[in-house]
Amino acid sequence: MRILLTSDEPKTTWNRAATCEYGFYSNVNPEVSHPRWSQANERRIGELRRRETLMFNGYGDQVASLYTGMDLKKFY
Amino acid sequence: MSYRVRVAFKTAVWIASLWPLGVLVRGFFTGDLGANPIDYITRTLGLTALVLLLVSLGMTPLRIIFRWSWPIQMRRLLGLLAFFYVCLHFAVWIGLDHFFDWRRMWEDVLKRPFITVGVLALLLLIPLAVTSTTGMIKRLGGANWRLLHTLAYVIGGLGVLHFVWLAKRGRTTQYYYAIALAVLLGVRLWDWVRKRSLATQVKHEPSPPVGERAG
Repeated sequence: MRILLTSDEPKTTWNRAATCEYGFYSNVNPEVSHPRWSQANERRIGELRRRETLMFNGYGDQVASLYTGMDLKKFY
Repeated sequence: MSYRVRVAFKTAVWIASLWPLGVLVRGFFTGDLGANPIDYITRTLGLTALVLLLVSLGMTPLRIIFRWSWPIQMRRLLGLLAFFYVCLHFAVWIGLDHFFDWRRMWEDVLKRPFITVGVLALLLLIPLAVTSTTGMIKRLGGANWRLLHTLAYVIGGLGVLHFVWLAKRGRTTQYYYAIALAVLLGVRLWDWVRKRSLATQVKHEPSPPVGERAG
């Protein structure tokens, strides 16, 4: 286990697998579709019906401030 | 092929192709459909439909390569079973996955290419299923019927495309289905080219050899 500080944004697994489909942050943004499918709704495990996906997985109050001023369509 | 052998073949086709549905029904009652049952059911039905579609498209190549006649007698049954699974796949998508949210589904059909081609494949299968009876073959006439049923090649292509476009990055299974379809259509192309060259050979045979004509 080690921590490495880099001057450039590091590559992430999903970003490496499909650069055009997954960015660095890999936040599921219900307002921005994945290039091939919608992310606006989801089915939680154990539930039958779909429900609207919440921004920042429902932790908007806690984490949204970390992304202030960022274009989440560009930094996804 | 004798009547008894044909019945045996068809029974085997029925059992083998209804097997995946049986496994799903059993899994439903034993609660054995994984963490995301609706997703699992949709994928199993879709995959079975695609397999049956490719198997039905594999009957003509079997005849071409091995000169067997029985595969053609299985083709209609296999095609209809594929259509049955496509309908179930679609019904689950509408009724269980999206719970009759027509607006959202229509948006998906328009916006998501993999869903567009999937729905297109279903729509194209309907005329083929409707004209699958012996009476309809007679009413349309053999040539028209055959022309209409070349749509099966297009449907096979759309089905494979649907699978390739929905697969998550890093998966490779979908490409094996694409290769299988390419092989099945390739055998037909090879047979067509071969027959055409045979036909031209026959046509040119009566003309005198080049040497004589020159003299």
